[in-house]
Amino acid sequence: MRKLVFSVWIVIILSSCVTLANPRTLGEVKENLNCLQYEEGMDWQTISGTFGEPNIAPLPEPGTDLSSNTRIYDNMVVIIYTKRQKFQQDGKIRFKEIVYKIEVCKKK
Amino acid sequence: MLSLDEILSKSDGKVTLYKDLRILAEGYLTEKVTICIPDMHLLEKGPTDDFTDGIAAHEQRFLEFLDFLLELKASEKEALEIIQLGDLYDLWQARGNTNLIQNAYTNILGLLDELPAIYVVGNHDIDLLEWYKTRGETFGRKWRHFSFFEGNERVIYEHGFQADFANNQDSWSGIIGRNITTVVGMAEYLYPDIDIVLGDAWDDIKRIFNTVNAGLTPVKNPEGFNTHEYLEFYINLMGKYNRGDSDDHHGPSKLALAVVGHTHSARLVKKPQNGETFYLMDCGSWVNGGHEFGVICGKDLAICQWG
Repeated sequence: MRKLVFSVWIVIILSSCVTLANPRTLGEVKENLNCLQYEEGMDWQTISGTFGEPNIAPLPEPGTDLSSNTRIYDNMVVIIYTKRQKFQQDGKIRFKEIVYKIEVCKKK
Repeated sequence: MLSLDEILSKSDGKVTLYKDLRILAEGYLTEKVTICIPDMHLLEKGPTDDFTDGIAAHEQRFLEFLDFLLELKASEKEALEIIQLGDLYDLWQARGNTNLIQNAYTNILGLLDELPAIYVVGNHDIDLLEWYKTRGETFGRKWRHFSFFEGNERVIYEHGFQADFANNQDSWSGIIGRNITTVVGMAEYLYPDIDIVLGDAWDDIKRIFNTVNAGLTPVKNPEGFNTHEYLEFYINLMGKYNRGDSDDHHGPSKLALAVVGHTHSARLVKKPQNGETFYLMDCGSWVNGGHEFGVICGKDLAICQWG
């Protein structure tokens, strides 16, 4: 039994080390990324100029005039910025997290 | 200043004394009503989250407590001080840092900031002082806090790990204790069914861990100590402050009460020494079903519970 317990300890310690990496800041994460912040009405050329040609260009949806399209990049990184927002619920103060900014990024 | 009895009355029976732990001190200790919230160990509501402990009602109970404190704050304003005594987060077992805990407990953390609470760090969230140490970013956290009466420091608030051999993060023993706890916690997080898969073997592992931990940490074996295992430590510490001998302090104080958490075992003790009477208030916890907090109203000291 002691050998088994010892073996399990070793497995636990080794496997746990995988998840014990030092925490990284956003700045450190973004060092190897090219990022663009999404804004309503932004120029497509800004996106294609930063990320290049999309990997997938799906068929236009039926019922459109062919001018509305979607373009897909796989292997992209999405960064979602959140913050706490106060609201009232049944006369009491409560909080929820809201998204206030989204960045899409590609590895350099 | 509200009296303790007025607080009990305002709560409509929700606030009660915990095990009749109430002492009338020999002198005034605070000019404000001070409410001390001990260890919470918030995680991401996963299987190792000791705050909910698998029971959703525990979160609701704490929210009701915070709603009550907000009402008190609205009426008492600056005459009410709320101190969170550390281990608000359990960063030893968190999935990285505070990020996803903010998502799991948005209401609780928002309401604590809304009060606002004064935050002292514990051994499980001391990383908040380490991440941006070189830039001086502390996220509003403090090592310790003090209350004054007529210009003199009378109460010191610390988490309590400073008095714990196995958890003092300034010592080698504390680092070892943290790593053991982290590894065991990680194992349960990575393999939630580890106890089922390994059966008796996992029980043996945890028994060894508990034995080691009990040997190092008095809190796990409190019956082996008199009154409170931290009393002498804090009497000595308050003595240093009172003599002006501490590293982070200028001028003599008149400290008489130390308020801590950490042990998860609420106690309130006093000890006369050298003509003075010292008090130690251990506020218990809000983990594994605990729901205690400390209250100081001038001379009146008590451990209370909510709900």
